[in-house]
Amino acid sequence: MSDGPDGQAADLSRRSLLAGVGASMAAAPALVGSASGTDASGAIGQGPQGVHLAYGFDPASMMTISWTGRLLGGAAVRYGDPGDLDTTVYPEDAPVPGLDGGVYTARLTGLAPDTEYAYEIDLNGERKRGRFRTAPGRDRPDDHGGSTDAPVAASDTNSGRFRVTAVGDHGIADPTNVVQRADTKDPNKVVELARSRDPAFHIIPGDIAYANGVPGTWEQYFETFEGFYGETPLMTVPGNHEAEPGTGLLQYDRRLNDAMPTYDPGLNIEAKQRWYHFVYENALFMGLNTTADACGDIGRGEEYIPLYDPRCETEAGLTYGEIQGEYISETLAWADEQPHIDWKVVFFHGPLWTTSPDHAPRRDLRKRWGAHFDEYDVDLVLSGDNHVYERTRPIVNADAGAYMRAVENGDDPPEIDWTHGTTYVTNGTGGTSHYELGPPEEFLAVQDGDHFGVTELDIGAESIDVRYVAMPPIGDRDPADVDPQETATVVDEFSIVKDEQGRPTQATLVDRAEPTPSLSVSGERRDDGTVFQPGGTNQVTLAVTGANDAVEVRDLVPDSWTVTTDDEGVPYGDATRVTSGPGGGQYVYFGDAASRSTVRYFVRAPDELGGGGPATFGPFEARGTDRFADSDWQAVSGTESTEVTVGLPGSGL
Amino acid sequence: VVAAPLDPQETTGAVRADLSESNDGAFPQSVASGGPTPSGAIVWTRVDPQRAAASDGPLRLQVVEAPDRKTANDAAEFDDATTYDLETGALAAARDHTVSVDLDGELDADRFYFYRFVLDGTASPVGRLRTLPAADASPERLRLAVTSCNNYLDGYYGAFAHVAEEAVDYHVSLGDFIYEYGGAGQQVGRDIVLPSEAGRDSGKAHTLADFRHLHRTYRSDEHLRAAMERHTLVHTWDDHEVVNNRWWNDEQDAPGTASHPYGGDPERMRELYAAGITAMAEYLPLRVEFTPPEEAPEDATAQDYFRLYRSFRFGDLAELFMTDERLYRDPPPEDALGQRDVALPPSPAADDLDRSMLGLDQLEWFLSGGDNPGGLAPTDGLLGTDAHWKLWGNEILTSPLQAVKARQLTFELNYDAWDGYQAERRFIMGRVARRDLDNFVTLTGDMHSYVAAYMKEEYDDAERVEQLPGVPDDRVGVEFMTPGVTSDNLAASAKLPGTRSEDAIDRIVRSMNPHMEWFNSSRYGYTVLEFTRGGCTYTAYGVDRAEDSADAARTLLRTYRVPSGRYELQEFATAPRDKRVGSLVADSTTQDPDEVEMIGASGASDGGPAPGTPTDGGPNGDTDGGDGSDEEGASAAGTPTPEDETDDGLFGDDEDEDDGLFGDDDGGLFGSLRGPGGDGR
Repeated sequence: MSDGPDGQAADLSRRSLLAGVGASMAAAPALVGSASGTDASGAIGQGPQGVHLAYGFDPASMMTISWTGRLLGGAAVRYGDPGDLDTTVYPEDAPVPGLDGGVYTARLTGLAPDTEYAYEIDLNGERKRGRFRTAPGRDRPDDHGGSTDAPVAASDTNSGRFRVTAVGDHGIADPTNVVQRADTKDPNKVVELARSRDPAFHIIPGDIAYANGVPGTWEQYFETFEGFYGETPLMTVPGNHEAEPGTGLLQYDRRLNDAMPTYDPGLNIEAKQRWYHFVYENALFMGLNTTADACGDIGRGEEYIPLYDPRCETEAGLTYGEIQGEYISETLAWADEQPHIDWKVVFFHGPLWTTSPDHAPRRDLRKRWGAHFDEYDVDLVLSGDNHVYERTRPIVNADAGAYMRAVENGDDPPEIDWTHGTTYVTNGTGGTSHYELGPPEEFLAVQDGDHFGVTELDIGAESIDVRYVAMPPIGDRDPADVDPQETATVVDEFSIVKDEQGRPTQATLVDRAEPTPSLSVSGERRDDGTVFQPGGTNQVTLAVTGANDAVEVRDLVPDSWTVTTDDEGVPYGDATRVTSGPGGGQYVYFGDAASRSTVRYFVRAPDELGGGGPATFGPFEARGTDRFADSDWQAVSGTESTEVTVGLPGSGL
Repeated sequence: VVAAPLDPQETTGAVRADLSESNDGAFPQSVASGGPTPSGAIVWTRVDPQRAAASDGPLRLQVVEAPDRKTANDAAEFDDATTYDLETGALAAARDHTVSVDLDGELDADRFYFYRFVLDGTASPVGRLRTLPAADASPERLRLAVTSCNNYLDGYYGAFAHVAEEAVDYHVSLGDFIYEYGGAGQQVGRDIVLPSEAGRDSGKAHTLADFRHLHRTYRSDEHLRAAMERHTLVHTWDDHEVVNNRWWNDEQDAPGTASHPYGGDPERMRELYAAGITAMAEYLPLRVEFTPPEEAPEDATAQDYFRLYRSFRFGDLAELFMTDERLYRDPPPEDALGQRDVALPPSPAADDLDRSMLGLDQLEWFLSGGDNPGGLAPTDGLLGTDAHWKLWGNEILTSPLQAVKARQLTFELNYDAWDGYQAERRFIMGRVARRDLDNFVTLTGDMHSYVAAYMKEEYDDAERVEQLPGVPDDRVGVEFMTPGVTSDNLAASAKLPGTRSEDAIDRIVRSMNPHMEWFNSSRYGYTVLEFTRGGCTYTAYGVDRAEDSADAARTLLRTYRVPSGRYELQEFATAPRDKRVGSLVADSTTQDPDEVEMIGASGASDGGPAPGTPTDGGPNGDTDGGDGSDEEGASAAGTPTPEDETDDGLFGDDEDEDDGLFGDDDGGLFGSLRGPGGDGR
């Protein structure tokens, strides 16, 4: 929430008195997403900007935080429980070409699974704060320690499912970039839409910022979408537009690949890893790279270098495609042996199965990578590249490839079985533009070229429920009037399930009640202590340290304590109203202070000795005022405080 | 009595259900658990002597299964607990009122349990224990917090408070749990006055009363108590549980050391060992073989009445061999210049074929297997175990720490570590290499440093795995050292400039020790090791030892992963800290939720700001007035350049400089391996 001017002043006065932080007090931490500092030129500012998250190797215990800023030498990330950022980690940094600054990458490890963390980036004296949640530990949720317990597959209930959103070919309207692609607010609306779907993480299978050689567009991109990427891990692979004129994949490598869970200590640029996998609950996610640039002729502006081009041969005598082929085979074989991995989801930029004429399907990869997808029953492949939405029928590459070759040659196609195999979804409708649709080939189930939106995966034990949640382009409408949550519809929906032989196939989506996002608030209480003289005054400060909505708060004051007021009955501090509460206590409300992160009020201890024993304040309660405006009052856990009144009345002795 | 644990007799209904802990000092050192087996563990407490004297008993013990691994100790509910009446005698003064109860055979495998002691209606703080997985179980994951070197005089135990918070299965202690030293502490409130006059005069424990006092003092610290209450301990000792840099002198059949007034006196050294071992066995929940010296045959030595080495098997995922590098080791190398544990100048005897660190019996047990103390199944040894991860808990640096002073000469720094017993090290590594043993990981301590290194059979060759494809892998394992919780590290001992020199030291140590991937002796803290079938992860934390708080500042330093099946230290988190002032910034700025706006709350940032439009950040967006001064502050703080650091005298090019890293006198890093005054603190 934004601090109003009042809240800001109140906070600072206290802080400056207590801590005497002087100049640095002015640099109160901003929240990720509250853009500050970047001008339209996309320059790198002094403080952290463009914060984005990515999972480490183990999403349950590792998170990577990246941002850009000036390379002046002072950078740290503090993180921990939202009320207690007790751990510090120092980032790596690397310059980015074309800008006065660089990328910082901080790797957080040793995190607890399924846990909410807050982090605060401190760069050159400026601070920015955000939050994230680690993935559930597959074998650790409420286990009894139970390291030997049977693997916990996500039960097929709402709570056991998790959600992922994905869309490629995104971009940002950057008027200063003459070679930009996106020139509308549609990419912004797509992010708004993705964010409203509340995914655990978001995938972009390539063509991310469309900087096309203008580094400032990268800055604009991350700055603009910081509110989403700063709290939701962004997992990416490069597309052809990440191979930029002059610098190739260098911007991508520094800004994103270094943040992905690759391990690549070698310096062999031909073999540089831009592929990786991670396991989230019961699903393997594997990102691959269909863009090789190190061996292409940048001067010729080659947008697409065949992965099996011998110019890309590495020291080990393998092409870039072959190296990945080995990796794919090994990784899928490994995943196949893991009893807890129910699903295999692969994502990369160039689609194997597409009709849109702008980018022909990667027929070379059908035979090579596709063979591995067939062998190990990959359930779903997500691609982009063509700015359309296309969903295939279940495909076995070998069969469907033969079928299509026959069709293309004008021969009678063989009878093939479309009832099982991998589903290929091409979704390049990130908001940049639309491409033509090709003829509805036999292998296609659904095609759409009219919307921008995200592919949404709800993954459980029994199915991957897939929805294409999308909206029409903004067109002539005022972007401010376009609410994605209102205009978006489910353009396509289906489920991926296993057939009797355990092979992936498609099914009609069985409607499950969608997980309803609800208000989530965390906070802290500070007051003057726990022991009071009778009649003593306790200053209480309530701080909302995290919330997924703007909130108003109220506090519960125990029986026999009194909210102090001036002569006219107006409470001191920020309190505006007092009503009776349960157990003889009182509720204190704070009226229009709802937009502040902290509020204060004062209470007077009971006059009699002992005060009737220990008295408990709180927990304070919060209620949404915007997104969850109809929510009930909700207790903010951990904000109780017990006070004891001892000694003689203040007037005694 | 540890080796003859009290036999619990089950009773029920003997304790009021609504009993809660009363903080009346009845259990001043709280509770602890250790020595897990698949069906139990040892639980421990100590009763206040006056309370023990005034009580008729009985002392009771309650144990209840924990609902999950997250529940806090103070949220434990004992309504369904099993209650044990402990034998009368548990309150006796003979063991200084310490009580160790062996629950082996009482509990289910692979479980957390809460427990507490009850005396006369007063409950102890709640402890938690964890049993081992069954020997044939296949756990998916094992997480260990690893600590060592807890010199109470040198600092506070914030690191233990963080250990208590870690979601680990067990707490592995690699020795120097206590130090024999008394005297003035480096921090307020950390002085120790030893009871005996000789102890006070020398600053070193002399008597059983001295050692008991040390254990009581250490365990009075709330953070160490918290770690002991929360996790089950697996401990091996190092030298300081009795006396600095010690060995066994076979000719005298007595311990030896150069660091104690009793050093040359076999009889008094035997008595010193009896006192140190007895106190350790009283105060730590150890699953070892131990007969109190006064009950042992008259001519029995510590080698007869005490056996520490044993192995713990975590199903088929891992077996942890906890060896004893102190009770059987031969005296340090001796040559014309005398017998010494310092390694300058080099001694040809360091490589003597007949010098042993482990002693023959332990070496045979370690490699080929044998029996284990009560409740633990016999082992097939390092070479025979079918456990996926073969873990060696070993107090002291296993791989070499070498320094090159002149071009032709390589020498080691510390003969008190395996560098003083090179022939046996080569023998062990050779056996491991011949067996092509995979997933062999050594956990070490002692040196108050973080180390990530490869173990090899021969260290003189260049590190070859990555440089020359096609050449056979000569790595035989990896070593992860855990730093001191508090004990002066080498930077402190050498009076180097704190963490500002750490990366320079790392670079130079690695240049002389290519098998090392990381060397850091500028911080204090602990490490967490996690093992799965896919890999092993080592996470290193630094914790400020100058802050007596459960929230003492913690820094995530590095994380290494070793994939299953090959010896490759993959680094996750690396940050060359010497070229930045981030730590200074971090230290100087306060975090205050008052001033924080939170992501997502306003809903204003969903689409991000349009370029060039006013931001939604409110006042924060404009509050950059302090930038200039921050920048200046950074440079004023003296961001050291690498050149600056190497000129700090760490490595004193100048042969006449005595305070260089490898200077001959005590001030240098080399000297600090012995510690100030050669005491090896």
